Amino acid sequence: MFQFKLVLLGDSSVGKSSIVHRFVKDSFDDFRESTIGAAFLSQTIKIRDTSSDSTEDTVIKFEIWDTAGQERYKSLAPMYYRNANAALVVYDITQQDSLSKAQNWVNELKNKVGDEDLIICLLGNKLDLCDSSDNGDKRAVMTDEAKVYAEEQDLLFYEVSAKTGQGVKDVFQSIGEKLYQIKKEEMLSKKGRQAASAKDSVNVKLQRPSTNDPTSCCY
Amino acid sequence: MSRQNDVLKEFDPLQQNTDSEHVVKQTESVGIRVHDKPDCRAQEKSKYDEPDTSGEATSDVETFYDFQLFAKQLQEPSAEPIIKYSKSFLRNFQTQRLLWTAREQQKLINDFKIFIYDKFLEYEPFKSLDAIMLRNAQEGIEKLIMGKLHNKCFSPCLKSLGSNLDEEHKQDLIDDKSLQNKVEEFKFIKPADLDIDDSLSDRLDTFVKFSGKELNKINRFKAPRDKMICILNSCKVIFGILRHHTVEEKGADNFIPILIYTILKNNIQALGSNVKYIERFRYEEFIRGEASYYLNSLQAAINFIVTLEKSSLSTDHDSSFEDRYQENQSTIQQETNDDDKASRDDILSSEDYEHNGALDHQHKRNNKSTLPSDYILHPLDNAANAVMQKFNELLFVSKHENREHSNSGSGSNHPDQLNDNENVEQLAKKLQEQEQRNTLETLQAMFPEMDDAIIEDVCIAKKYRVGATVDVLLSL
Repeated sequence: MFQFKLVLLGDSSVGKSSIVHRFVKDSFDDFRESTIGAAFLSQTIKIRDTSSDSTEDTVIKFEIWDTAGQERYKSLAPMYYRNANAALVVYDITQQDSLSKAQNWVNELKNKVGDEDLIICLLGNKLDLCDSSDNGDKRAVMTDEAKVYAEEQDLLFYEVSAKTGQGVKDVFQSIGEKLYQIKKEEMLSKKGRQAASAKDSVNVKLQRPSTNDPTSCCY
Repeated sequence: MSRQNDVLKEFDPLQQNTDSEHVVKQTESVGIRVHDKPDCRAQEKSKYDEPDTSGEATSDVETFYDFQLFAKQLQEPSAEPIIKYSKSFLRNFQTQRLLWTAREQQKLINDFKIFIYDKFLEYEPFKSLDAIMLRNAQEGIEKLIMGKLHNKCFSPCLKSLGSNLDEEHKQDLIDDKSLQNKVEEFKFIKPADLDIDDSLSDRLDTFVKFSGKELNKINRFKAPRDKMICILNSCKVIFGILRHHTVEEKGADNFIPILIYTILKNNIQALGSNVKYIERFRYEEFIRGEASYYLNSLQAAINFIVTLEKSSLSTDHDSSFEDRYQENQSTIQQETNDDDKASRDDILSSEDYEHNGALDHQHKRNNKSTLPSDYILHPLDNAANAVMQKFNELLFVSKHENREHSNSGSGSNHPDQLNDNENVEQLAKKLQEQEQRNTLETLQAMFPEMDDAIIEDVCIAKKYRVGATVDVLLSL
């Protein structure tokens, strides 16, 4: 089973944790391993491999790392997004300045991670507060504005509602499919990785442990 | 030269636990119950997680843990090569060089684990174990060798080497000191200073005291896994309060600040060194996923505190911050003065510390607290230590070896050491009872409105497992 690390970024009021909660709660597959608490969740999904003839689904597992969204904890984020396979950058579509904060996160990821394979998904939350006839539309960030930005930056883009669950599943499904695609390509060209792992190793060795150690019978 | 002898003595694997005069090679000698888990629960088929409360079918591979079972397996005649390999490795590690750098240690120990895990596939009873039991045996080996090498690998144990230390170990000690200084500087802060929601204030301090207590246990264990579980238990208590206030869904926004608050409010020694120790010596595959997240969060919390500045906390709408800061500063000043007076003689008499170069300036301030407490250097490890002792007899059967290795001659006999099965068992029992009493008292303080008898009943039902017990009490 493939495992992927997914990190959640976004301001503390945008409801990023709720989106993941909704995703895990709504998944029928109950293979989740959160034994400590809700800051780390894991969830499996099934991916259909359309390119191969196999009819069997591939199961992949997300390990979802939540971050503290408050401004003062921003400096801790790099410890969470390092080695991530995907990042979910969440903003609140009912807050005017929310998208620009999300864009800051996207910039930071692009500048600091430097991994072309990192999948970034821009995610507008609180869709339930928009387009509702009785409550009035609270939308403050236009879909097109975010969409155009996401296309420019080559990001996945969705608008969802953690409250109703609208769109949430699709987000993880499409991230999963993309990750699986990358993984497959990577496995086909394995040589690059092997070369990379050869460097940076410490060059010490003990003599091989043995069952008839000469030093053990001398005394 | 005497110093080198001291070093040798300190590193002598045989000196700590083995009693060479009583080489008991009875297989049933390990027949005591193991309560090696941080939460002191009795032996059972689960780890820190509680399937009964989380209600999910977790893969059992990672949840089963029974060190005693591994001990028994190791004593089967067919497993002898495994013992010999381990023995050979430990000897080489301890004798080939006085001190390895942290990176070298990490590599050597990891290499050995890979080697021996591979050997499991060749020898019974390990050969025919299923995945769950094999994982248990792998954990057992890690605990076994790290129990032996802890005093060579855990940075606070190496403090006496001073400037002879390699950079990484040295850095660990410096980092521990920086953290301690910052904790001292900011221990006065209020939850609001860290963006902890006001709605959480009810019983926050009681919970934080409890989570700190769990985290503090990290210094009582030698095995990376046991240390890791202390961290997880501590985090579990934090989620206890979030669940209590039904804000668990907010995830890291609430969790991280309370974790930081926990560290600031509890004076936990050598926290950074502990994290590094786990990162270096826990088998990489064992700290994936959830454990990795919480270990990482603890490191993040430490980093946050170490880089904490007055300016980053004080806010315009809270003018009291500056006052509280200054008040704490004068308290620290007062304490430092008192300490200086008390410890000046110690400093002057200890020439070693004067020669410690890079670490020296660290020691100057607050000298008293830089000297590691004995309990860090010699973790209690409860009954596990008693079992380890039996193991040492198994691993190092020759009493001549013991003599040869301890050059100073002082390591020959330890009359005060427990060498008698009955005593070991009694000690284990006593420690466990004490531990349980402590847990019970803390829980009664946390849930004052609840009947003491009910709390005790829940404790017994949950076998004094902290996480599970808190979960149940919160749900009542």
